[in-house]
Formats: sequence, structure tokens, C-alpha cells
Amino acid sequence: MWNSLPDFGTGVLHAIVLLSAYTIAVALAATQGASRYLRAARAGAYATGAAVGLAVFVLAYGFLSHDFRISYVARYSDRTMSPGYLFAALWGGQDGSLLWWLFLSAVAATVCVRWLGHRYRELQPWVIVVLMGNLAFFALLMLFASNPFALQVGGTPADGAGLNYQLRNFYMIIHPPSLYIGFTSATVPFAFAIAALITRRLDNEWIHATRKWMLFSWLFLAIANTLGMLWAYEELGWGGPWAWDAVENAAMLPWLPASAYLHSTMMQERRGMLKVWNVVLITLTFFLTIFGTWLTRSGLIASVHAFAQSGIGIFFVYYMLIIAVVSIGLILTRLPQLRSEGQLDSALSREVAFLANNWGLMSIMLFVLVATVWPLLSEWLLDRPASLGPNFYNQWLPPLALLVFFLMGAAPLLGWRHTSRAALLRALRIPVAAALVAGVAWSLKGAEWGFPAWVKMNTIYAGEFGQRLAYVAGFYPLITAVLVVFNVVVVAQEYVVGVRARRRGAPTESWPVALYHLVGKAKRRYGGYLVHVGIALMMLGFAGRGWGVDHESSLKPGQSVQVEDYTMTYVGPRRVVDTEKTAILAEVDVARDGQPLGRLTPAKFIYAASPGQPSTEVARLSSLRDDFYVVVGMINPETKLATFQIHVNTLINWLWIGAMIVVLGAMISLWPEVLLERRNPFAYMKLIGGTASTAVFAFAMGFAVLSGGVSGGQLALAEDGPTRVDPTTMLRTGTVGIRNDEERELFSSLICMCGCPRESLETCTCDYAHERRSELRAQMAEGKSIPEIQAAYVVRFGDRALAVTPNEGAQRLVWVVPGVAIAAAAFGVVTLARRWRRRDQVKQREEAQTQTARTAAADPQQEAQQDAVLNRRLDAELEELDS
Amino acid sequence: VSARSWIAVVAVLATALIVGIGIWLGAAMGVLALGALALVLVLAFLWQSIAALFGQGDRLAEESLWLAVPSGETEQKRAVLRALKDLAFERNVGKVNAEDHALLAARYREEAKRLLRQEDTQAQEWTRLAEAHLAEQHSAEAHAAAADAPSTVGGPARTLLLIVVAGAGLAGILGGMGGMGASTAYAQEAPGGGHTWYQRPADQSVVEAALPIGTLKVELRGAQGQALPQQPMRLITTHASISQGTSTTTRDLESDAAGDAQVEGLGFGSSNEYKVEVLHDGGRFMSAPFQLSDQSGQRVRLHAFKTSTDLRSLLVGMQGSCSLTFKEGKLQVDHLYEMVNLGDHAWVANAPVAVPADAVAITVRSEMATAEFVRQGDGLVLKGTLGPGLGRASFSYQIPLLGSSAQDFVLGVPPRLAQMQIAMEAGPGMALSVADFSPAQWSQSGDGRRILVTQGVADSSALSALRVRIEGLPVPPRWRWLVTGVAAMTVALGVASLLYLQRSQRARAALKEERLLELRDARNALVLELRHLDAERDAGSVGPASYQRMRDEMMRALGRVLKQMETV
Repeated sequence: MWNSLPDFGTGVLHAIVLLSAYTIAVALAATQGASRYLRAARAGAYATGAAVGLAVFVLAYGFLSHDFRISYVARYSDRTMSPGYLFAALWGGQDGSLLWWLFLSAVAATVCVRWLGHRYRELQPWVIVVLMGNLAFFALLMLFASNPFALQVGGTPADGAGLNYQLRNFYMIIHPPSLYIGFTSATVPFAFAIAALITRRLDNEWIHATRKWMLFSWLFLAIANTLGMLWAYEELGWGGPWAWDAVENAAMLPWLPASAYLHSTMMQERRGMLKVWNVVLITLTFFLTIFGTWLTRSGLIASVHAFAQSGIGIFFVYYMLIIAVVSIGLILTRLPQLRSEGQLDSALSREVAFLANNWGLMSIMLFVLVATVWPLLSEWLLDRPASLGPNFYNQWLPPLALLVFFLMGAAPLLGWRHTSRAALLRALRIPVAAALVAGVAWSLKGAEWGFPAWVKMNTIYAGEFGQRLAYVAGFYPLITAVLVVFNVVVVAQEYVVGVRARRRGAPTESWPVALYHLVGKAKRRYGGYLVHVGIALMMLGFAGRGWGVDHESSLKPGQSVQVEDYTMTYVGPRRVVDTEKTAILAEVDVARDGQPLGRLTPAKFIYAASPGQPSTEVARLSSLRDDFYVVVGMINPETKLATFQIHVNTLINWLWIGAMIVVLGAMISLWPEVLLERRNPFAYMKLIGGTASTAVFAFAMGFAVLSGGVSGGQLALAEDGPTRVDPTTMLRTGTVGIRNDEERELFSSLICMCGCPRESLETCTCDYAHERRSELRAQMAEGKSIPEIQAAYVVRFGDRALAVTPNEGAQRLVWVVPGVAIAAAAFGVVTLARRWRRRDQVKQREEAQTQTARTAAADPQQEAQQDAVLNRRLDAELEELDS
Repeated sequence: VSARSWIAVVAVLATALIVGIGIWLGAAMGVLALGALALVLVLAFLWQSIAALFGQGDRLAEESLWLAVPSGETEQKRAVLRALKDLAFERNVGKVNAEDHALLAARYREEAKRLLRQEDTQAQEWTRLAEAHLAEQHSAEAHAAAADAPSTVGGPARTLLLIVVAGAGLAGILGGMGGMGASTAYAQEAPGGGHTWYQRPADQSVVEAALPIGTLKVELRGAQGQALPQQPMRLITTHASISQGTSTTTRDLESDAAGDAQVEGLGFGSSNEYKVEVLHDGGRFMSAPFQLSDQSGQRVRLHAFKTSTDLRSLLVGMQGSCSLTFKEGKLQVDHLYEMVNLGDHAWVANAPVAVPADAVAITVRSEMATAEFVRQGDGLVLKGTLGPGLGRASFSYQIPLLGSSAQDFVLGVPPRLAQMQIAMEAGPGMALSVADFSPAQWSQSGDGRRILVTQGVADSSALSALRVRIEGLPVPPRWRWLVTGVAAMTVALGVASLLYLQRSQRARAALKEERLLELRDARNALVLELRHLDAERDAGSVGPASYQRMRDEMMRALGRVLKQMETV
């Protein structure tokens, strides 16, 4: 087993299984309270973590030393790759990404065990059992289905196949680790929840323990999704950041219950409410990380990101079953201990806003989940293939999202327990006025500014229903923008009011000092508000796509084209070559309102490993108003004629700015209490680590904003080497020509049936899609209507060929089922709130009776003295609470 | 502090060593050094774990002190205090009016005071216990009794049985396929051997200076070069448009009495590509694709032949090659067939080719020829027209590897196969055998990989389905089931230990004993701290107020520990 490096790696996987099993066994014994077993379990957890590290280092060594005996190394690297990409190849394929997942899970487990120290002694053994169980699952998965150390079956090749060029991108190097960090760190809150359920210690102890872990997981999921959007925006070259792809959805789904939990946990901490709900949210978050992985890797749902179909899906099904059965079983048996202690004092309270917010977030999650798996469900249950493209989500989801967005703005205006009507109206005055002014101004002047109040949307259904849906959807960008103003003003007002209140208590403090102290004393609250601002700005970035302009043009050197305020002049092509690729750059000069802005170099990269698939390298010029985004489609080597796709992506950069603010806000909430804790080297290291990670991720996203105009052609390239381009052919892969809105509507409604994963004819760049578009254009030229052409396409290719399943028969279930569930949940929330409100009234009566009885029985003078003492102590404790 | 310092020193040294190795010997060696460090850590922590399990190693007083930390009971108070604090903040920022604030604050203050009273009651008990213990200890010391020494965990029954288990593709088809040995072999068997084979006249596509720009002249000829008049033809144009991508149009033509047809006004340049197709006697014949020059017209000569579907009457043979490569649990099988037609009749083919039942990812590649493999049902069919001369067709599929060290399968091949070569990428210990083929020989592929090559030549009739056997395939780790079993047993043992510890009186007694020892450690550590505090007060380094506050806290902690000792 140990006579070669690959065998050694496989041996280490065996050792991980044994070590985790040993640690589980010892931790189980430790549940009975013997501290030596607990010490043994902790050391076992460290040993398991170190073994996982060893496995990763062995594989990394395999990559760096080009050990092509290892099949995974041969498939995902070659000798030309730089050490950075060789390291990134660790998670470039399925086997390695599972090992990387295991590694990050082990890091989370080890850090958790270290952080636990001697705290939470009753919970700790069970936490270790769950964490080690998770590691054991992934190690067994690799041993049985996806061994990254498996030998190359056909002997050792002289060179490897190399990493897919689409993964050779800065964001793709850091996106998967961020996503996996988000996924794997969700294991820790889950482990605590299970431990609390098993030990029946369901008070706030475990909630305190998990809050920061969940926030950490949430933060990395947010960062990962943003980096994924950046990658899609920069690398895929279709002009947008999010396409509601199954894998994108899978990455977003756990983020929604995690967001809900971060709000509802405050209700348990402060009021002892929503105990069952919090356990459910944590379990659901973890479950969805596994579910998303299963979706991505089972090959059941096609996606541009999905790994190849493999046999590991069934292992994930078993694992999900175990998680579901254990979690549901424990929750059901612990229901009496999970009863809510609190009551609702008023309908005008933050508690109610949080309840509504949780309902909204979970409704979005349910809707996205159903829509993501609908193609599977439709085929299994209705025996009819179905597809749901981005237009479906873009027209159905915004009402829910905008409601949650409104609640996000309204909740900070409400106080805990009770807010008087007058106070609420006073707090609403400025934000509502600002939003109204913005809305009116936008409606009147928007078209003049390039942001019309209503924008035309593609219809997704034939008939009046589809037209009405599209008509209403045309207002979503405007409504979003108005709510952005509302949200940002609310947060600004909260900061101003907070600083003013603080300065009333400490008049000598200047505004900046008061702000510093205000945020420092309530990091969670004000960090959270900053996250709200970030999300509002991200929403603005998404909404801006509605006002974007797409244009296509073919130019000869020296010719210009005008798009909105921009003038683009094609200078000519240039060719550069390095060891791994030939780059064909199209140099263009861009000016805005006559003022030169600079030269861009959109490009096609032709990699030696895949010469038939030139990659599209986008170039863009960024400003706060828009992105001038250029993709070069074809360059004729003879005539130098080039075709360009030009997108003016309005407000898109607010997406990245918003993401940076989200990171900043979350980091403020997470900021360690280093000055209040022990001041030792480890605490300072923690502080430095936190600062460094904030800086790194802020830089990563800042880079995206500041790197406008930087094309992929700026990698180190040698000038004018020998070209590998056949001069008789045209470079044409990677672009889609769309001439008008009618074409866009038709192409976006149909799926390319070439075998591309779920891509519509609007975005698919393969030859097959080109041919289909030609045919469809011919049909349009013959005067056929869009529904007629769609019907003919479906007759030819089947139901799966429609980008959005038709709104007929059982296919309506795709929106009816989540709709009914969401309405039922809303009814449930209202019923729950009313019950809590009644309970509050009963409790108040009981308290009043008890108080009366005590007053009658006690000596009034002695009672008053005792009360005065208690009041003084209480004031002292309140004073000390945040100091 | 001492242990942490050591850890810090060792960590810094190890980091420096690894960085040094990385710089001097390269990144790969640096990573290997990290691996070595990880291995050392695995062994060290495992040793520490086993030592702790068997009661070896010191328990830190710090660990015991955590037993004195309140947990659940303070949470409720903290929540009420937080509620009051929030309320005050919200009053300050105007979210709650004075009336509501007064009402709610009064309620929460009442609740907080109730909890404080409850805490006081508990604290009084804890302090009483602590005072009693201190007094008792003081008295015992006064009588020269031995002070409690910090104990280490004794040796309660070892209930847990410890199980320690340390524990190119071939990049296309092989070279050397250019020769037509197969056709020679076939020719020797052909009836009437010895005579001269039919020489197919070459199709032509040449720039014709005499023709105007944009003009195409098609000359349709028969097998002997005779003109074929009044034959319908089609001109297929593939237009690569900048804005619309690729589109295809067709135009019908007909040969005149001289067998010619002429088209004018065609587009030229690289964006237009043309082919001429003719349907003749049930067969389909096509010219090679061509583009028009921007200097003059183009002349294309195309030959059409009489056809037959009866293979027995035709001089058709094939030479095949098959490449076997391994891709993520599957065997990739790529077939390529060179077809030769030595007669003057074209073969209108419709020949099925079987593929293995479990084959997946069946792909046919278009070679722009008139005869090619197409999918039909679960298998493949060679369809189209093979005119005199050479043709080429290919297909591929994948066969799942079953996980055993040897695998057999049958390769279906097209008819009239005279020679077949099979090459497989192979590692050491692997073997390839095909029934009736020569023993496989080791060779090297174009990309430098080791391959096994075998071939078979038809003696009297064409090769039919080929039975292939591969041996020496790497199998999944053979220890995995054993390891899984041991791991499952270990966990089961952990569960058994848990149940034993819960139910066995002896085990519970041992656990109680251990818990008591731990609590005693905590108690002793707290008593020691109280003495240090007294000493510091006497030395004047702690003021009276601080002293009192710290003493109260420590006395409560001591009380909590003593209460737990009582409970145990």
C-alpha cells in the first residue's frame, strides 16, 4: 500500500477513516463526562485534521512534481502550468475538489475544537462526533468512488491534459475555496445544533456558540457567490454576472436560510423565541450545502459549472437521508424543550419584522429550490421534460425579493418589543420622502437620463398572462432603485440618530469619535446595517441590467461605432504568443462624449491544448454609471474585419461595490473582541488574521472594479511569435449575434439542443446554435410569428427545448406549489404571532396578580429597601454589560 | 505560558525550515516538507490521544477551573439585561416613546430583579459552602494535616478497548496506417486476380482563368470519363456571416448535353464555401469543399458511378484501427476505418455495426464524406455511398470499467475488414489480447506513452466481431472494505462504551470518582487563588474594593464547585 506516492496518498485516506472513527468512538465515551476521554477525543480530532493536511500535501506534491502516474494530476495539469495554477488544480476536478472539501472541513473542525478549549463540556463530545462523522463520510466517499490518488490506468503519460482554460482565471482560483469555506464552516453550527438536541441543552448556550460561525459561513458564501459572478462576468463573455444556473442556485440556496438564521437567532437570544425554527434553519443550511454538492456532482441537472456525471451521487443521497432522519427525529423528540418562552409585545416590533423577513427569505429559497429541481421533478412525476431559464426567475422572483428588500429597510426602524405608531411614522418620514422623490424624479426624468421608468422585458409565456407578467416586470428596475434609496437612507438615518443619541450622553465627543464608539459598542447592529447598505447597492447593480444596452457591430480598422455616449474606434488586430496559447487581440480606442478614455484589447485566446475552442477575453472600461464591455467575436485574418459585441452594462459596478460593503459590514460584526479578551500573542494573531482576510477579499473585489479596461491579453505574452491560427479560417467560437429585440426574445426562449448544458440560443456559441439561429431567422423572414416558430422548434426537439416550460396543465405546478406553500407559511406566521400575542396578555395578567399578592404579603418598608438595593445592582450590571 | 512559548518557538523554527527548503530546493520539496510535518503531527497527536485515554499525561488546572464557570443560569439574566439595554438605546434614538419605554422597562426590570434575587439565593448557598470549606481546610491545616495535593487522574477502570490501526489517449490512431496492405490482401483474393485494378479518374477543383470572377463550371463525368448529361445536381453554399454566423443554402443545377453546368454571380472569398453534390443511380457523390478566387472563376470536375448495394459484387475492403484509452472509470474506444473500393461501381452502404450493450457516449464523427457511420437504435450503421477509391469513417464510445483486474468485451466491426490494429495505452503489468490476433507488443505512442499493440489480418474472409480481453487493470484500494469494517467496529465499540458507561454501576462509580478528582482539582486551584489574593491584599497590590469583588466572584465559583461535588 505504501510503496509509491499514489499508494501512500490512498493509504492516508484509509488512515483518515480510521482516525475519525477512533475519535468518534472516544468522543462517544466522553459524553458521559470523563475529561480524559474528552482530551483523547480532542487530540484525535487534531490527528485526523493533520492526516487530512498530509493527504492534501501529498496531492499538491504530485502536482508540483508532475507525477502523472496519478490520474487526477494527469487530467488536470500539464508541464506548462505555473505553480499557482498547479495549486489551483487541486480543486479543478471532482476528485481533488472533494479532497479540498475534506481539507477545509478538517480545518473548520480543528479550529472549532481548538476554539472550544474547555468550554461547552457537555456539548463538546457530540460536536466532535458530528464533525468527525462528516470527515469520515468524505474520506469514505473518496475511497469508494472518487479517489484523487487513483493510478492512471493506461500508464504514465509524458504530459498531462492541463487545466481547463476557463478555470485559469484569478477569480476561479479563489472562488471555489471561498465557496467551500462557506459550505464547510456551516458544519460547525450544525454540529452544535445536533449536540444541543442530543444533550437537551437547548437554552441560549449553543446559540451563542454558533452565531459567529454561522456569520462566518454566511460571509464566505456571499464572497464566493460574488466571486463566481465576477468570474462569469469576466470569463464567459455573455455580458452578465448571474444566469440562474443550477449550480449558481445550489451555491445560493444555503445562503438564504443562513441569512434567515442570522436574524432569527437574535429573537432566541433576546426573547427565547423561535427555538425550533433556529434548529431547523441551521440544519437546513447544512443540508443544502450537501444537497447543492449532490446537484452539482450527480450530473442529474445539466449546468455549465457541473462536474461530469459520476457515481458519487448515490453516496450523497445516503448522506442526506442520514442527516434528514437524524435531524428530524431529534427535533421531533425534543419539541417540548424547544417551546418558545417569549411573547410578542406588539405587532409593531422588530420581532414581527424578523418573522416576516424569515418568511420572505425562506419563500425565496423554496421558490428557487423548486425551480432548480423542476426539470427533474417534471420528468420523474409528470413524465415530461421541462426547462426553466433565467427569464422565468427574473419575472417570478422579483416580487418576493422586493418584499424582502422592503422589509430589510423597514426592520431597523422598528424597535425590539414595541414601537409606538408616532415613533415609527417619525422614523419613516425621511426615508419614505427620499424614496418618493427618487421615484417621481425617475419616472419624470428617467428616460432622459437613460434610465426609463419602464423597460421592455421578454415575455416568457404565450398569451395575455405572459404579456402582463412581462409588463409588470418592466417596472422592477424602477421599484428596485426606489427601494435602494429607501434602504440606504434608513441606514444613514440610523447612524445619524445613533451618533446624536450618543453625543447627548457624551457631549464632548466629536462626531467621528462618537461614531467610532457607537459602532464599537454595537458591532453586530451597525455591522449588520452596513451589510444592508451593501445588499441594497448589489440590488442596484442587478437592476441596472434592465437599462443596459447591447449592440453588435463589424468594423474594419479605422472604423468607429457609437453606442450610447461611447464611441469605439477599431485600431486593428494584434497577435501575441506565449508557451501555452496564441492571443489574437483587437485593439479599440474608446471615447465618451468625445473625450478619449483609453485603449481596450478584447481578445481571443487559442490554447495549444484546445485549439478548436478559442476563449473569449473580455475588455471593459468601468465607471459608477456603467461598464463599457467589449467582446470580440470574429476577426478575419485576411481583411482584418472584426465583429464586436458591445454591452453598456448600466450600474453593474455597484454590484461589486455593494459586495465590498457587505464584506466590510460582516467583518465589523465578526470583529474579534480582542481588546476585551486576553491580550496575548494569539489574540493579536487573530486580529491580524481578521484584518488580513478582510483586506484580501476587499482587494479581490476592488480589483474587479478598478481593473476596468484590462483584458485577458495583459498576461505575460511574447510579441509576434509564430501563430497557430489557420489563416483560411475565421475565429468564430464564442459570440452570438443578435440583431433586434424580437430575435432576442425568440432566442432567449429556446434552448440549444447541441448537448450544451441548458444554454439558450441567446447565449450558446456552438456551431449548432449558429445553424439553428440561421434557420429561425429564415422563419422570421418568412413572416412566422414567435409562437409559431417556438411551436415548430418544440415539435422538432421536444418540450425540453423551451427555455421556460409553458404555462399549461401540470407545468403550472412550478409556480403554484411554491405559491401555495408561501401563502400557507404566511398564514402560519400570522397565526403564530397572534398566539404569542395572546400568551403575552395572559402572562401580563399573571404577573400583575403575583405582584399584587407579593405586595400584600410583604412588609412595605423592607420591600422598598430591598428593591432600592436591587435597583442599584441592576444599574451597575447594565453599566458593565458592554464595558 | 511556558507550553505556549515552546509551541511558538517550534512553530517558528518549523516554518523557517519549510520556507528554507521551499526556497533552496523548490516549491515541490517545500510542500513535501509540509507533508512530513503533517505526518509528525498525526503521530504526535495520536500518541497524545492514546496517552490521555489511558490516563497518562497531566490534566491542567485550567481545565478543571472551567467546571466553576456558570453557563445556563447566567444566560437568562444576560438576555434580560440585553433587553433593557436595547430598550434604553431605542428610547434614546426615538423608536420607543416615553410611556411605552416606562411600561416595558418596568416589566423587564422586574424580571431582572427576580433573576438577581434568584442568583443571590444561589450565591449565598455557594458562598456558604465555600466559607465552610475554607474554614474546614484552615482548621485541618492548623492541625498539621496534609494539604490536598493537586491530583492527577487515577486509574479508573479502562472501559474503552482501544483499537489503534496505525497505520493520450493515443492521440488518434497509430501512425503507419498510410499503406494499403489490406487492399493488397483483398486484391489477392479477388476474382480474376492478376489483372489491373480500375483506376478512378481524379475529381478536380481548379481556378480557371478563362472563367469570369464568381463563375463556377461543373463537369460531371462517369466512371470512364464520359459526360453524364441531364443529371440533376445541387450546389451547396455555406455562408459564414459576421452578424449571423453560419448559414447554408442550396441551388439546383442540371448538366447539359456535354455533362457540364455553369453558375455565375457567386460570392468569393473565405466567407463562402461551396460543394457540388450529385445523386446518380441511387448513390450520392460530392466534390471536396472549395472557395472561389477573387481573380477568376472555378472549374470543378466531379465523377459519378453506377452503384450496387450487394457487397459480394464489389471490390470493397477495409482496414481498421482501434484505440483504447482510459477516462475516469471508463474505457474510451475510438474506431477509425480506411475504406477502399477497387472496382468501378460505388457501394451504397447500409451495414450495421454492433456496439457493446453497456456502451455510453456513442459518438460518430463526420469526415465530410458521402459514407459515414450514423446512429440507429442502440447501434451504428455505415451508411452512404463509397465510390471507387478511398474513404474514411470513424466512431467512438465508452465502456464502463467494472472495477475488476480483467475485463472482456466484444468489438463490433464493419464488413469486409481485412486488417485491424488495436492499440491500448497501458501501465506496467497490463496485458491486451484479442482472439486470433497476434500477441500484443509494447510500443510508444506519438505523445511518448507506453502502449500495447496487436493486429489481425484476414486469411480467407473478413474479420468479424473481435473478442478483446484486458488484464492487469488497476483495481480500487483493496483495503478499503477492511478499513471500513474496522472503522465501523471502532464506532460500534464507542457506542458500546457509551452504553456501558451509562448502565454499569462499576463504570458509573469510576466516572464519579474521576469527576470528583477533577472537581477536587478545581477546588484546590480556587483555594490556592484565594490565598494568592489574600497575599496580594496583604502586600497592598490589590485595593479593598477590587479585593472584595474578586473574592466574591471566586467564592461563588468555589461554592459552585463544592455544590457539584455534593451532587456527584
